This record gives sequence, structure tokens and C-alpha cells, in this order.
Amino acid sequence: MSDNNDTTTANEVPKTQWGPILKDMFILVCVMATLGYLCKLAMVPFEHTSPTDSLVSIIRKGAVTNGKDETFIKEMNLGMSMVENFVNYPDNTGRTPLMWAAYCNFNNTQEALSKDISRLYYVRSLLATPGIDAKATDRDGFTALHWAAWSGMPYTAVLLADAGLDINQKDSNGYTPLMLAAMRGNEKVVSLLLSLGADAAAVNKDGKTACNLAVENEAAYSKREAKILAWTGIPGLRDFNPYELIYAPARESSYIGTVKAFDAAPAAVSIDDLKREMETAENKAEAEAAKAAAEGE
Amino acid sequence: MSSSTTKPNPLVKYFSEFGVLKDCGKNFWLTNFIQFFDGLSYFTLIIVFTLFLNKYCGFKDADAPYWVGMYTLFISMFVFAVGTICDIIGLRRTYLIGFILLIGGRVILGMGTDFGTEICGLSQDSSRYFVMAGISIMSFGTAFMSPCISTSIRRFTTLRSRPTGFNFYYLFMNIGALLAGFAIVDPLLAWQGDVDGLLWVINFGTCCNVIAFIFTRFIDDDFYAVPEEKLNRKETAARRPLQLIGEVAREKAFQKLIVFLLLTLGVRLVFTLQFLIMPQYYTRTIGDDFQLGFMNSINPFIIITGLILIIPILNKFSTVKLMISGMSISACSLVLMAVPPQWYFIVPGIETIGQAYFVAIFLQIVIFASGELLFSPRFSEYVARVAPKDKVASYMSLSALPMFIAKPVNGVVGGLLVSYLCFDGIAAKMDTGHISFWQSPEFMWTIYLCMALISPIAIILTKDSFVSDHPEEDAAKDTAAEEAAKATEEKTAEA
Repeated sequence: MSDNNDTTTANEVPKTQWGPILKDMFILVCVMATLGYLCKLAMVPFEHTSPTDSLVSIIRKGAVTNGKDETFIKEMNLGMSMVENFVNYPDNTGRTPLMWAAYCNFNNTQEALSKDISRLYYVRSLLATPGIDAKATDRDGFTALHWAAWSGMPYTAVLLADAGLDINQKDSNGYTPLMLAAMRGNEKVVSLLLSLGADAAAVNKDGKTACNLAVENEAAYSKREAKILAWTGIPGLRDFNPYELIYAPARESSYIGTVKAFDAAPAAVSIDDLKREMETAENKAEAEAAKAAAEGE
Repeated sequence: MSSSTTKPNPLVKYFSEFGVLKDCGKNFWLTNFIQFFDGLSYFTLIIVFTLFLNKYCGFKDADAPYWVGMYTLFISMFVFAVGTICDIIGLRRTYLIGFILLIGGRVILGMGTDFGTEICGLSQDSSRYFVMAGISIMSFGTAFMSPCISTSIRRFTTLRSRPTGFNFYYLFMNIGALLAGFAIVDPLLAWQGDVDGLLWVINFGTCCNVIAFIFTRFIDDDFYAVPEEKLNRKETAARRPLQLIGEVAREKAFQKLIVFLLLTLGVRLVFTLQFLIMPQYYTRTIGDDFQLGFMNSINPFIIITGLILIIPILNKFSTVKLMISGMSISACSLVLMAVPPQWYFIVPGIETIGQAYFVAIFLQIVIFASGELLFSPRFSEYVARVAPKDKVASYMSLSALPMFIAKPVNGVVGGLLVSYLCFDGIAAKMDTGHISFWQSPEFMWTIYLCMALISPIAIILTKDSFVSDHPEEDAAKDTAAEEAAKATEEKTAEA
């Protein structure tokens, strides 16, 4: 019975005319492609492009295997052969690939440290490139060391300091790398710079020292349970503080350590300590990568 | 107290309606599982798509939103093109084609960059063509899903259970969107890092698509909950995609609708910013470890809550008033991000730029979603009401036309604005006072605020000409006037 019904229905449905349907679809695809292409064309005059864009994207992605990144090497060689002064080529904000390698933006200082370790290969490679201008500044006067200090990348800062970057260089608003590290509560970078003799008395355009910035920002960053309690009168609200989402306990303790670092004499961390730590961290990361690769196989 | 005077709990009332779904068979539930996994895959992708293209595939700041804009354009355009194919070739075959394209596209998208650079030995730039191809193929596959799932729900529900079936489908879709953020994207990014985690999110979505595909193999292609509907297939079988435009383009009601749609474009474009620009804005102002998924879960959470608790109450208000209110609320929410973050320091407890941005973003999402809750359902309802009764489906399909043009334009504008006003590293420059208002993300949001505000203002100003509280009556009057004019013309010609 049901078979009969099916046959009847099949007879009633007219044969599909695929030609006109496909023709319409083709027209739509053409319209869409033209529209997309026109939009792209309109975008070109306003777009920022730099020959180092690809190199920077490789650095940011960070895919080092067995101690090197073939894609990075290839891109670097290609760029060097095609563009003069490729390794120092600035982008629209004046940043060179080295500055990009010395930058990350994490709330959690531990994440920044992990990123720091994964970037060491690139920083070393760039610093070893003939003709590199490690002391280059971007449009606001930031050096790679400023970027590393703000980002909380102490190992990169060690390499940059070794490369001869001025640890007291000021940007156009008077900020030194020490001030940037202090305002972000990057304890290790602060200790490193202090141990290298950074000028803790230098002031920015607002007349603030690195220590002032550290104290101010530590107070602002920490959740300050007492203040919340006084303000709301509700005990235990700290756990429901919406800032939990942008709060990292590691950064709070790093802020506290930063403020203390300004009082400590001599500096709590020396450059040699950091170099040893960097070596251990790199070895550990390599061992973990090898283990993961072996497990994968 | 008698039961008639007791107000029913809206939560109980909402869920009790789902009782009617026990009429629906296995095919209906299979469709919902397909929709759930496909939705999970789509929403996880869309949350991280810009970031994935930018950070993992090396697309420039301006290119990443452009390609996400193109992806959404491709989907809308292909939906328009393949919308009727489902009825012609059958559900299982459409699902098969759709999922092959979708899974294939996603695999190419995920592996494209590494395949190009590491296996083919191409440069980073050249390997992006694989990613672009992946996006195009994937969008074609995604376009099959929406019409196919809608057709499945319609086919596998009885006339009695159909409205509830669609409500359930909408609820389930939003639950997918809710879970995609905080339960999937955040843990994967926290586990695998801010760059590799993005690839894991894409791969997770591909796995969801594979699961959904497996479910499709159990669907009964010949089953119709209302057997008579099987006989009506011949009406839909011969329809051409562009036929729709020809049918309605000359109708006055349609022309009015297009003007109305253009007027609402400003605010509707802001809806797309959630995935075009916001991810970069969040991570660049607050940090790469910011819980992006959680923030993206707030919107579906408010929609779900609103669906259950608020929408039934809102039904008694005028559609146009609700649309204007919704648009105004959504547009005004951008004020929160357009003001300098330092202004927030007057609020006790907000003392850093990061905290100010966080509060601004959180409030914007909540207010924007509340506006969307008022606007979006009314908007679809209005489009349906404007249409003559026999052309509702055509009008609904064609209502996407203005967005076709707007999507790539928005992608381009958004990308350029991000590259100028929200570049990576801007947080360091804001901390050190190098960024003026005109160079800041706040200026970007001011531009979008102005664009968004045009919509409610334009609707209020043209309320008497293009928007009506009684669109059905107006449409009927227009049709009658057109027919009368046609008759007069014919008579004159005869004379």
C-alpha cells in the first residue's frame, strides 16, 4: 500500500529543472565574489602592510620544534634576500620584529613567563642576525626592552640587556623600562633592572618614579577585601567580585614583590640568577616537548 | 484561592508547553541533536574565528574581520541559493552534501596554514590561500544546515506540535551557544594556550560536526509527521533562487520593507561586531588570557532567560515600539565603550584601565543583549506581518538582502578600524599616555555608536511613511491599490 502511495507521489512531483537553479546559483556566487573583491579593493589604500608582517605572525604563533622553527628561518631568509634592512623594518606603529618578539599581553604573570620561554628562540635568532638594530625605537620611543618590561618577559629582558640596550632609556613620555615593569608589577623584570643598576629615581612626565607607579598600581590591582567590605557591608563578597575574571593571584603577589624589590638592597634577583633560571626553564620546556612528541608517536 | 486567579509560574508554563513534543518521534529528536552539535561547532568557531585567523593563520588585523565578514556573507548568500534544494534532493542527501563540505572545509581551515608551510614548503602568505579555500568550502556547507534543519523540524512535527518544536529548537540552539563560550572555548584556551588553543577550538568543532553527521544517518528520509505535506512537495520543487526577487520586487509592500531594512541596518550591523571586532578588542585591552568564552556566554544566557520569563510579558506591547526601544537600547549600549576608560574611575572600586574596560564590556554585553531580546523577535515578526499571506517565506528570505551588502563592508570597515584604533600592543601605549581619544578604541566605538543610533532615529522620523503598527492592513491596502491601478491601466489599454 505504502509503495503504491510512494509511486503516486513520485509521479506527481515534476522533474526538477536543474539548469535554471544552477544558473541562479552561479549568478549569486558571481555577485558575491564581485562584492567581496570590490570591498577588498576599497580597503587596499587604507591598509597597513609591512614586509615583516608574515615574520611577525610566525613569531607570535611560536612553533619551535626540536629547538628551531623552520618556517621562521625560511621567512627570514626570503625577507632578507628581497628587502633591504628587512630585520629592522618597522610596521605602521614603528615596531620591528624584535619588539614584537619582546611583547605579550597577559594578566597572569605565569602565562607571560611561559610565553617568554617560547619566544627565546626568536629573540636569540633576531639578535644574532647581521645588521640588527636592537636599540631601535618605535614611534613613541619604546625600545624592545620597554616592551619586554611592560610584558613581564624577564628572560627576553636579560638577552636584550646583554645585547647592550640602554636600561634607562626614556620613551617620549619619560617612561623607562623600569617604570613600565613596576607599573605592571613584573617583579622579576624590576629585580633584574635594579640589579643592573637601573635609575630608580628617574621620573616620567608626571613626575612619578618607578616605585610610585608600583605602589599606585599595586593598590589599584589588588582586590582589597577590606575596602569592598567597608563599601558594601557584605562579608565574603571577595569571592563574588566580578574582577575575578580579570584578576590573577600571581600578578597580585608579583605586585607585592615589586614594591618590596624597591626596598631590597642588594636586588633580590641578579642577572646570573635569571640566566640560570632561564636555562632550567628552557631545558624543562624542551624535555616536555620531547616527551609529548614521543607520546604522540 | 481558585486556580483561575493564580498566576502560573512562567518557568513552569514555558516548560509545560514542551509536553506536546511527546507526539514527535525519533526523527525530531535526532534533528535536535544534529542542531545542537552543529550549533556547538558554529558558535565555538565564531567566538574565536577572528583571533584564529589573526594569531594562528597570520591574517593581518584588517584581513581577519574581512574574512569573517565574507564567511557570514557566503553563508547568507548560499542559504539563499540552496534553500530550496533540500526539498528537491531529500534530507539525508542534503545533510550528506552539507556535512561533507562543512567537515572538509573545517579540516582545510584547521590544517591549511601548517600544511602550506610545513608540508608544501610554501611561504606563510601563500599558505593562507588554503585557509581562504577552507572558509569558502565551509561556508557552503554551513549554508546547507540552517534550511535543512528547519525543513527537518517542520517535517517531523505535527501541526499541533510545530510551534513548540521550533521554540524548542531555538532554545536548544541558544543552550549550544551558551555552552560554547564558558564550557568549551575558555577551558580549551586555558589548557592549550592563547594560540594553539584556538586550533583546538576549531578541531573540537570539527569533531562536533562529525558527531552531528553520524546522527543524520539515522534520519528517516520518507517520514512526514503530516503525511499530506508529502503530496505538496511539487509546489516547492520547481522554485529557483532568483525567482523570488522577480516575484516580489515590484510590490510596494516589499519596497517599503527594503527601506525599513536599510533603516535598521545600522543597529543590525552592530550585532555582527560581537564576533568581528569584539574578540580582538577584549584581548588587546584586557589581556590574551581574558575569558572570552564567558563573555560570549552572557548574550545567550540573557536570551534564554528572556525567552522563558520576559517574552510572554512583552507580547502585549506594540511591535514598532518594542523594535524602537530594542534598537535604541542596543545602540546606546555602545556609549559604555565609547567613553574614555578613565571616566569609570569615579565609580568606587574601579581603579585601573583594565578594570574600567572590564566593567564597560560586561555592562555593554548585558545591555546590548537586553535590547536584542526586544528587537530581534519583533523584527522577524514585523517582516512576516508586512508580507502578503502567500509570500511570507519569500519576504523572509529576501529580508536578508541588505545584509548581503552590509556584511563585507562591515568586515572591511571593522578590520581597518581595528588595525588603526585597536592594534595589538595598544594597552601598553594607553598605560603610558601615548594614545589620545582620536587614536583609541573609544573613538572606534564612537563611530559605531553614531552608525547604530541612525537606526532608531531614522525609524522614529519615518514612522508614518515606512513603518506601521498595522503592517498587514497597510500591505493589504497597497496590494488593493496596485490591483486597482493595474485594472485601470488594462481598461485604458482596451479603450
